[in-house]
Amino acid sequence: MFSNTAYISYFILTSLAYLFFDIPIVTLLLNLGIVFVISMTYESTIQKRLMYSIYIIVFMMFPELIVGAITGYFHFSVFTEGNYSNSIGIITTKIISFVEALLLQNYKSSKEKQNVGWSLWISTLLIPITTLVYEIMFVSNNNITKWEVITSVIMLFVINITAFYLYDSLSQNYVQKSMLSVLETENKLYSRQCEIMQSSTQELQEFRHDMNNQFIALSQLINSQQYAEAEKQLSVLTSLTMIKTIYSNSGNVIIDGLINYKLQNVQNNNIIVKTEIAVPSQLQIETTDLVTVVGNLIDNALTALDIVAVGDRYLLIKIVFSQQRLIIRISNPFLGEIKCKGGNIISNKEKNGQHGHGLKNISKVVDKYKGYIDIDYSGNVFTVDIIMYI
Amino acid sequence: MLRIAICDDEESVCSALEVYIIQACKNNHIESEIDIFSTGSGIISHIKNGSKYNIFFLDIELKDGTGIGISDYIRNSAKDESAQIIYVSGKTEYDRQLFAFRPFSFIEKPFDSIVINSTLEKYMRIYGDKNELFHYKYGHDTFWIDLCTVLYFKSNRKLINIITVTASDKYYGTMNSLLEKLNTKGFISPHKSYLVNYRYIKVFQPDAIIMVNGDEIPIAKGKREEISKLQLHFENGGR
Repeated sequence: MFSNTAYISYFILTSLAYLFFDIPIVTLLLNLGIVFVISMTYESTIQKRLMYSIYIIVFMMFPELIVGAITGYFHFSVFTEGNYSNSIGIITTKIISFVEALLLQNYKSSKEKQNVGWSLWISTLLIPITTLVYEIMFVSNNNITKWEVITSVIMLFVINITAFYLYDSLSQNYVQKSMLSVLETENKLYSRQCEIMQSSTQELQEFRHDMNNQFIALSQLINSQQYAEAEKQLSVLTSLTMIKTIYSNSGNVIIDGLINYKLQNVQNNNIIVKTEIAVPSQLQIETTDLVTVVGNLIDNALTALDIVAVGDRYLLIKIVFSQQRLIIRISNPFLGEIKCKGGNIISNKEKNGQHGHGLKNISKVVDKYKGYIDIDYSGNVFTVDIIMYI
Repeated sequence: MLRIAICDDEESVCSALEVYIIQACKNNHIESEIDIFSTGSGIISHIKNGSKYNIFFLDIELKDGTGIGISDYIRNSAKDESAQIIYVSGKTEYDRQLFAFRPFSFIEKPFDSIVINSTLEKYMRIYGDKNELFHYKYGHDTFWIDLCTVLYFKSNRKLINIITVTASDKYYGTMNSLLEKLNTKGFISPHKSYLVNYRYIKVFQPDAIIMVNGDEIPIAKGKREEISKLQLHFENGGR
């Protein structure tokens, strides 16, 4: 409520000041003062408020000065009444300020990792610029009446403001969509982990049941002194103890779900897996980020292992949480060459596009947590070490 | 000489672990002295009576429920922030609380000699086994302190401030000569004015190191990558 009043009074006061005085320095100081008052309606420190108020004034002043200079108006004193009368110039100034605001908003969104697509950037600029050009062409026509000019300018602003609100709800849509996909990923992992937990409980029960039967049979054989048969029975028992392994059981559903899911087929591929996982049940890292890093690392490793000789396949996964850091190491043998381009490793695959992104995505996440990646591929062993601060 | 304590309520586990540790120490050329305890209260009363250990191997699932209690006693009652705690467990699910005690490592039962070996290797890699004494002069007097008790050194023009667990002191010297003396003794240099004992770091942040006494040590912008790399080297080995 208060901020609405502040904005409205900004409009009223600056318009009055302009209409009655039109002395640049007065307008400037009044602008600065009221913008600062508006900033009081936002939560921040005095220093930040002052800084941003000044920034805003500068941003608004810039187009005015530049457009003024372009239209020949630059020999003026800030203390005397101004006499700028180029109407196109004034409108252009406002449109440029508007474009500045849109660009800054785009920049802020992309900094917050909400992916602002190229198309959005371009539409941000296209609508104000094209409407402006059209307006200029329109009013340059000498056979125009005052009312036609006024109407066209009003429509120009209506178009731009509508576009702005459309654009705003579009980017909100983007955000919601990406949130939904994060939830979806989390969901998939959780349900997969539940499935695994359920099936392993079932397997355990079946296993116990089987073992009991075997023991009963075994004791029967021994009681009846059929020792040769008993020996055979014992070897059956030994083979029964080769139950399917759960690779990760740390209590952290994301890590467990992810690793167990990705490694469910390794036994069929003769890969020896060694894991060292020490993490609490909750980590202060976003699920998608964790999935991106660990998922991609494992995918890359499994892909590389596909062409390694069957007897040589192994995979080492270490994920440890310690003193607010997540420390990861993944290591596996590989065959062939690692190609580098400009200090970055590029994919070994034919379909270059798809797999090249794996390491890039990992890098993005590691950068987000201000971490560091070290890759070593000497001696035909590929080792990735990652540290992230969470 | 490394003083090691093992606490597990199953005798067979204790003796198995002792055997592995002795072998690992031999492999890493460490002289060690191992004490075995079967109850939480036993080990706590020994610590109360002044026994000091460098490494604790603690069973998390002690039957009298004092697995976490021992760690709490070590860190919070005895205020020993320098000893390294290694948790031994039959499960791989670790209680959140355990991480707050800054464990050095987790070891799974049944034991794997390779794991125990690499754990001790990691200890040597970071801390070495020398309990060094550090000498410095101030005025006409020479002082010495146990390096193990120093949290960090901070240089301030010509003075070097020594912050230890209990007190602080200063002397005239240069950071460069300190770096020469203390290179590879478990100290890292995140900033040209600081030399920090890895043992007493509570939290690592991308741009700062928080010590166990709450002091915040900045990491110089140009050194961030180096410090991250060093941590990876300490924790993972290799490179």
